[in-house]
Amino acid sequence: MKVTGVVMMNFSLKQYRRMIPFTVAFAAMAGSALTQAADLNGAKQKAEQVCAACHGKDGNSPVDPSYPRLAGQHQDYLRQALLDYHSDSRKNAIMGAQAKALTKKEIGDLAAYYASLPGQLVVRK
Amino acid sequence: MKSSAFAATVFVAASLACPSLFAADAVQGSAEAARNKVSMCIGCHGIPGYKASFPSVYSVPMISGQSPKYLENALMAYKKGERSHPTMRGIAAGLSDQDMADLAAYYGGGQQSAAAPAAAAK
Repeated sequence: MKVTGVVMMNFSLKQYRRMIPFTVAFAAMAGSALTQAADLNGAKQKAEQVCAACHGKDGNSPVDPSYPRLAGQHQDYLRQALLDYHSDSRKNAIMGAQAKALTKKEIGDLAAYYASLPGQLVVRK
Repeated sequence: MKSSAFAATVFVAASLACPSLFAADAVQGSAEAARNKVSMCIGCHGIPGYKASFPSVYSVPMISGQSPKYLENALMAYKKGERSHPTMRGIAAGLSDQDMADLAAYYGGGQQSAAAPAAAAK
């Protein structure tokens, strides 16, 4: 018996059954990608409401030279920095207060958001 | 004439008595001087994708392109214990104010070196 797909590919039912795990895995991946995109949007809002006041709207134009550029920095470093501020193992009056107001989830989202922005930070050899 | 000489004497005496008063902003970083000092930095910060492995695993930050002021403050914070990374604390502990200013000028060079003093002056 043959089943004809919409793209005119002919697979047997047995072949379709074999594809199920891959289809499910792909759908799950697509789903998590969508979830992540939603989190980036949430982080963008928060970033523009809060972080932008000092680090600049693009994360690349801090209002004072003592504040770092965030745009394009490594995601796991940004996350670690916020976690360290959160736990006081990195001490700064402003950032300590800001980070303590964030959940671990929000910290991860903000790190992903700023890492995704184009920036001028580079590895100098 | 006499009073200006007196003023100069007072100024010199004051500088000698409390050098920190005048030294605070006197340390000028030299990117050129840093060339002999970056060997401690490049083993981690000069390798694309390098991750610190202790006490937890995450990418070492990209530091080139930050402002000299931020970099100098970061090194000072490690030296004072306000930042906790063990390797960076060990390295910063051995740096003088001049070393920090030089390294900050080296990694914070580019467009920043011209912009930072102007911004700091306001």
